[in-house]
Amino acid sequence: MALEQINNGDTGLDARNKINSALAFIGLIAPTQMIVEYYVNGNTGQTAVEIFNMLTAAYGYGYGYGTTGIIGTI
Amino acid sequence: MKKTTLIHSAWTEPMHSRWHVSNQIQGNLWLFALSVHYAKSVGADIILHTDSAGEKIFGVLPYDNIHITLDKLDLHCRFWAAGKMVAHENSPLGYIHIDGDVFIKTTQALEAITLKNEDVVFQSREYICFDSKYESTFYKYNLDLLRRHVDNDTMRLIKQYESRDNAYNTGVFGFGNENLKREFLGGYWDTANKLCRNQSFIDEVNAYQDTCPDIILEQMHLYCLCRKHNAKTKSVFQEHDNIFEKAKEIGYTHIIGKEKYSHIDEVKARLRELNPQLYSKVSDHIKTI
Repeated sequence: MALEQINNGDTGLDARNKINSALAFIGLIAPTQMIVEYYVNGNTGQTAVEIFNMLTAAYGYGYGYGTTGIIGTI
Repeated sequence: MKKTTLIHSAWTEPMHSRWHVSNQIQGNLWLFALSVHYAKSVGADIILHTDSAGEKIFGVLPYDNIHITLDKLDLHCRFWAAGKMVAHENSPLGYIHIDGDVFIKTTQALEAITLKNEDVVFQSREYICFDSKYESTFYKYNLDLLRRHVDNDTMRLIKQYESRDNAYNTGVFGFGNENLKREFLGGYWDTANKLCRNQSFIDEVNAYQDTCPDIILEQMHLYCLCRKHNAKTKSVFQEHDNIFEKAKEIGYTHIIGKEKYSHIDEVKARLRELNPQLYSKVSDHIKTI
């Protein structure tokens, strides 16, 4: 199943694809692609699982902790 | 040099229930306030298109002009970009719509969104498909939804011109070409009106709170129309930019999606620091809403 495709240690394009696939699996409309890009490319220390958890949490699914969708600074 | 005129639109109907977030009106007032402050601080004019209820709320902000143009909007509230369309319909070419959660903090950022001889300006390209196997669920779901319920020139246009990287983020959005503008707005209204008269579409939209038809009718539609006409486009961010770094560098901010509501305290603090008079005015006004 889609969720099983995400493995700790997945990074880059592989992680990005898996995250989107997993989001589709749970019926969640993916957040704007820039946020996915940010977490995959901007935080290389985070695994696909952690990124997935942040994104789902941000959209109210309660799988992890919060995220940010800011381009620039307040 | 001619002043750039920015547009805000505030259709209050979608602000009541979007994303299941409460107190959106108040949160939006703080966001709009900081956005107006920044716009004025870089020397732009900024006007507001809103409805009568919105005028009572956002009218407290120092807009150069307020137009009550949205009272007659008769679409489902999930068409949250409709206010933006009315605003463009009632504005001359060259006026740039910015979302209430977009901050133009420097003249460099203002320059980056100001049209010169281009047909269209937008924020950035959104990348939809990462490869042939994994499509973006966000766009795909909504595109499939619309395709199941309407078949018109706009949907055929999208079918003909969609591609792997096929949408424009319209955090900032302006036209410099009248024909393109008319075709875009005509396509938006024709499709939105047909969908809103289709009960099975409305039932599906009501059943799923995250349904977002405007991601197609605004963002993907704009991309496809520009592609059809080989339009000359301008964007704040280019294809290979690191948008997060460049945004900080040029002084451009966009708080995306419902995430904005978790930053209201920061927005308030920034407004109090930069414009204490406006902060006090908004604080007092909010008590009356």
